[in-house]
Amino acid sequence: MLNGCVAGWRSPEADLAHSRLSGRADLRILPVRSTGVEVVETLRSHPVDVVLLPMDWVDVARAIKKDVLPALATTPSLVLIAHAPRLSTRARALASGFDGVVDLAEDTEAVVAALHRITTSLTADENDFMVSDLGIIPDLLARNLSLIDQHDSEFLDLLAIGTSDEEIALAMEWNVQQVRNRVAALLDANGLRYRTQLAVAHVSSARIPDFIRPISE
Amino acid sequence: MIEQGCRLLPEGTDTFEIVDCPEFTVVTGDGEIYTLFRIVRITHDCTEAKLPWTHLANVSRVVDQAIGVARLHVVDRVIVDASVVMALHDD
Repeated sequence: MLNGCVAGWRSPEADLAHSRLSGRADLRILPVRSTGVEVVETLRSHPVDVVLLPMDWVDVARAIKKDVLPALATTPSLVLIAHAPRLSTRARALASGFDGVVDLAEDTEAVVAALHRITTSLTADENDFMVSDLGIIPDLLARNLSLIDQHDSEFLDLLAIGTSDEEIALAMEWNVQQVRNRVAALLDANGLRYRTQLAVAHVSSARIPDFIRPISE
Repeated sequence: MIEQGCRLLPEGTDTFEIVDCPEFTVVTGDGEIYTLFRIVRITHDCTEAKLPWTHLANVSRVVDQAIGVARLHVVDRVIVDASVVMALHDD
């Protein structure tokens, strides 16, 4: 028996997933949650094996992945629900912390099989050869960056708004060699390959206060 | 890679006589890939004004260690530009 929670607000994907998966003997699907806070409260109060979210909830999903799931006793899988998802959709899902993607264009048995596979298997979409060819770093957008010293927060704020190395050097009163060396060090410390990955990972690090509120409050 | 207009420096030349920091980063891949190197020894200074670099050096790559030779453009003891030819690599 798989316990599932579907999230979405006026979402055709969420409504379709809920209607197709409800009433099955091998699934227990809760009513559709329409806000991120409702999803978080559900995860804290119900045993949930899998959370299904549509694409426009991707920012909610990565916040849940980063701030909510680590505090739970058991970690549910996050699954993107989409109709005939494109490669770019699956790649963004993987980078955003989803454990897998189910295609609602497939029949219900195939969708259920995919959910079981995602929740029980160690393999994720990162092993999809086309996604892995893109060099996607799983959970890139659902992680906290490792910093080297107290200057890095300001440094990354500048980098993440599109400033050049020379402009950062001017703002930080560093020389350009120091800026480049710091970019290289932060890339290495976080297992990243490209400067842009550092920028988007920092932009994505903003936290949603409602999600990080402790359970006891 | 010894260039016309470059002068061999004494083996005992201290890197810190020429630059403040022996580590520098080469940016490639359309500005996306940052590779950190450390100067092992600065071997030549290049006095020819038309050259776009000022020194040659033996360098090592900090991550995925390998050795190479670098052309450095040093201004006010700061490496403002560099290019590296690796001597050993895994490709």
